[in-house]
Amino acid sequence: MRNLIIKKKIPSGLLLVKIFIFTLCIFSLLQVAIGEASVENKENESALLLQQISQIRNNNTKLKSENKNLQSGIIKKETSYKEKIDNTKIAYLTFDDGPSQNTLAILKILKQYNIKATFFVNGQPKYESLYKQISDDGHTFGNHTYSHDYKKIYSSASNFKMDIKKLDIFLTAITGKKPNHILRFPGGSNNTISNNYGGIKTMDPIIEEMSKSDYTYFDWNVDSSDALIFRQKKDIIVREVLTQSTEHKHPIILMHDLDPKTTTVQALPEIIKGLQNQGFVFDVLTKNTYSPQFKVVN
Amino acid sequence: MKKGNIITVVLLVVLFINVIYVNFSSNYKIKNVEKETTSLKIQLRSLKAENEALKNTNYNLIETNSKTSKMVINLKNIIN
Repeated sequence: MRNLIIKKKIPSGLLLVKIFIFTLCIFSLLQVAIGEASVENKENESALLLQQISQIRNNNTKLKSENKNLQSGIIKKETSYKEKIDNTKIAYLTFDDGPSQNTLAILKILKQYNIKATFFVNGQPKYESLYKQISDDGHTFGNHTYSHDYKKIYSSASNFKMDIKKLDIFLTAITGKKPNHILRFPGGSNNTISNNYGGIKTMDPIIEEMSKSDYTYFDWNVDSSDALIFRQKKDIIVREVLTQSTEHKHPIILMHDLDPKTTTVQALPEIIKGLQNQGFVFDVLTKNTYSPQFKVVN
Repeated sequence: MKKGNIITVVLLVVLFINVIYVNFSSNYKIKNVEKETTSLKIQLRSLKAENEALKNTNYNLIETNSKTSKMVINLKNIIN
């Protein structure tokens, strides 16, 4: 009886071992099957990635060659431009502090000679139509602050910037054109009057702030002297401009467009003719124009 | 224990070893494919970054080219 029980126990133990091994086999096979499916998925993903990589590589190669061509084209154009501009006498007529009652006459003269100029204006809502006409006639605006109030603009860099922005908004509202970020500091970048309002060396942070805000400022290398006294003599204005311009290939001529400056208007035709006789052509200031700057803050 | 049972157990053990081997080799394959996929993903990411940079350069160059062309045309116009 006892032997019988032992005999029966052994096969059942063996059966358990068989079942255990068999289950392990099945489990492992399942794992293999899942693994194979995962490998297939990953292989598909890899194939897709390879396809994308190949596409982007081709795209990058194309872009690289396009950029190379563009770069060489730009270099060629710039070289030719530089050569041409170095050999061309270009005068830049600039009018500060306008518009005024003289602006219309100035525009008429410029139209008559088919010449474009740069107007460094302030903000005067009563002359809205003049701003529009300056813009419509193809002239360029330069920012000369909205208020031109030394006490206000030169009290701090932030006040200066605010006044500049105010004029930008004002001009855009009238002309619909984006601000060109060209500016001239009232009194020039080396003025000392600003020290009375913002302390010693107050221009340094102002210039730095405006440069950071992507504004290019223009001083001048030819002074018409029309601001030296209340109303300068016409002949002196003409003489100053024509004499000083002989010293420059690209004179940036400072004139004023205020109500008392009637002699500037009278001098303008003679100035234009005189400069033309000296071989000058005329252009407006842009951010790419050489800009004489009295003061450079690094 | 019967002889037949021993043979069955031995066969099962052999089968088990075989299955385990297949399992390990499958795991190895998975790891390799995963490694390859990760490397491809990194490559793709870096290529995409390069592509973005190239597109930016391209945009800037087109802008500069157009500006330069305008400057050249403007200069021609004022000279003539």
